[in-house]
Order: sequence, then C-alpha cells, then structure tokens
Amino acid sequence: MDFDIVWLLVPFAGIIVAVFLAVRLARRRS
Amino acid sequence: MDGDGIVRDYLARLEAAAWPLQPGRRAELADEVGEHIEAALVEAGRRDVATVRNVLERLGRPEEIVASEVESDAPPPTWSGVAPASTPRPSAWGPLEITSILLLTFGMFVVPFFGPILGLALAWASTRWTTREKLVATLLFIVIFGLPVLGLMAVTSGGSSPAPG
Amino acid sequence: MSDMVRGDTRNPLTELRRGVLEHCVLAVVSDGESYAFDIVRVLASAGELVTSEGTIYPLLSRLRRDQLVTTTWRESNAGPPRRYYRITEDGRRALDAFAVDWARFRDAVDALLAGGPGRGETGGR
Repeated sequence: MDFDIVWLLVPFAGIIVAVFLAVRLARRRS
Repeated sequence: MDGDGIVRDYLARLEAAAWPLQPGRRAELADEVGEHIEAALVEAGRRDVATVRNVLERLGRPEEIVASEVESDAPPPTWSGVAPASTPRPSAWGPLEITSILLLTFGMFVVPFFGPILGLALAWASTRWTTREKLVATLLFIVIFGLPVLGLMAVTSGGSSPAPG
Repeated sequence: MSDMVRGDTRNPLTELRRGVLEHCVLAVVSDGESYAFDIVRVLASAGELVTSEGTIYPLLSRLRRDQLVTTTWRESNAGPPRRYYRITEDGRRALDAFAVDWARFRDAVDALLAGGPGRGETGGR
C-alpha cells in the first residue's frame, strides 16, 4: 500500500525536526 | 550630639544594616567595629565630634561594611580584579529536551507513529526553545510528513488505480 | 549572591582592591601575629589600599573561615582581650602563589602602560 510510506515519512520528518531543534539548543550555549 | 552619641548612632545603623547576617556574625561584627572605633579614639587621644567623625569616615558606611560581608559569602572576585561570571550558566540540555530529541529521532521504534509526535509535544512543553522555534519545528514536521501524505491521498482519491502493494 | 551590589565599580581599581586585599592582609600577618586594628593601620599606611577600613573586618572573618589565618585571644593592658591573627600553612601557600601571579600581572600591566610590545614608543594617544 502507498500508505506504507507513512512509516518512512514520520521518522524522516522526526529526524529533520530533531536536527533543527538540536542545532537551536546547541547554539543557545554560546 | 556629642562624640559618644555619634558612635552609638553609627553602631545602631550598623546593627540595622546587618539584618542579612547570621545573628552570631552580626554581634561579632558589631563588637569588632566597636573595638576598632574605641582603639582609634584612644590612639587619637580625643573623643570630640570632629575626631569621631574622622574615625567613622575612615571606617566607611555601615551599609558598605555589610555589603562587603555579604559578598564574602559569595565566591570572591579572582584576585586579578575581574569578578567571575556570576552563576554558572545552566546547560540548555535538560532531561525534557533530551527526551524530546530522542523521541523525534527514534520514537518510531518506541511507539510507532506517535513516538515522534510525542517528542514534538515534549518540545512544546520545554522552556528552552522559543515559541517561534517550536512553531518552525511543528511546521517542518507537518510539511515533511504531511504534504507527501496529502499528495498521496490526493493522487489515490483521484481515481487512478492503487499501485500494487 | 549572583547580582552583587557594587556601589563604585566605575573605578576599575575597586575591583582590583577587593581581590588583592585579602592577600595583603595575609602578607601583614605572615611574619608574626597582629590584631585587627593594627592590621588595618598597617594597610592604611601602606598606601591607597583601603578605601573603607570597616570592610577589612568581613575580610578577616572570611580568612578565618577559609582557615588561611588562625586567631588567639590575648589579654591586653589597653582594655578588653584582643584577637590576634596569625597566618596558617594554607595561608602561606596562598600568599606565595599570589606573590608569583601578582608579579607577573603587575609586570605585564606596567609594560603595556609604558608602551610595551605592539604599542609603539609614543604610547597611547
């Protein structure tokens, strides 16, 4: 089913967002 | 007011200014300063108003002395004259933030589908990201996840036959 | 106390004095014992070290607490018993370390003020 792709997209989106937030947090220490 | 009256007044001001101190130290400081004044007046050989005023002027204001005492409780400036950063800056990485990041990354394997969403929710709960950053994060998530899904839904409901699974 | 109230930090020497003063006190008691009033007198006569003599007393209290000095009460013929301050081993170590650091610091600042490396013969402006 097409919608299996959901199982790829969620972690993919999650990782992108995680990277974004992590970078933000890392910058905060300076 | 005569000289002794001024001294009494000064010591009273010192006592009042010393409210931040522990009672033991407060009394001790009062004794030390009192003895200092006495020794200074004995050394000067006179107790008239002018002499007393000079002694007290050299001693400094009671508030200054107490301020110095209170500072002593805090880490002193390094001797090179530069005060160290007041408090160590708290690390931005708290347990909430770490959990949020982990869930976003690996949450799919913990709680399928909802793991990462829970991670996003935790990010919102944190105080260490600005609201703007949280909004951007949420939008990112929705766009990266949502648009392809919507696109797929649009395509599949468009009538074309579903691809073989 | 992170937001220390400093009334006169406009003067850079104020900060400097505060950090240096406790080691000056250690120096005064390093070669014998002294009582508080005497210590204050010696410091005052040494130069522009003390703006407010009363602030020596919190300093002495802290030195006692940090065990850089020990005290003994002695009878005095001039009145009530007096507290005599003497340097400890820890105090001596702190003083020696300070002496080294201070010499370097002082020399570096003097050199710069006198128009040292990189500043040119004409000095500042």
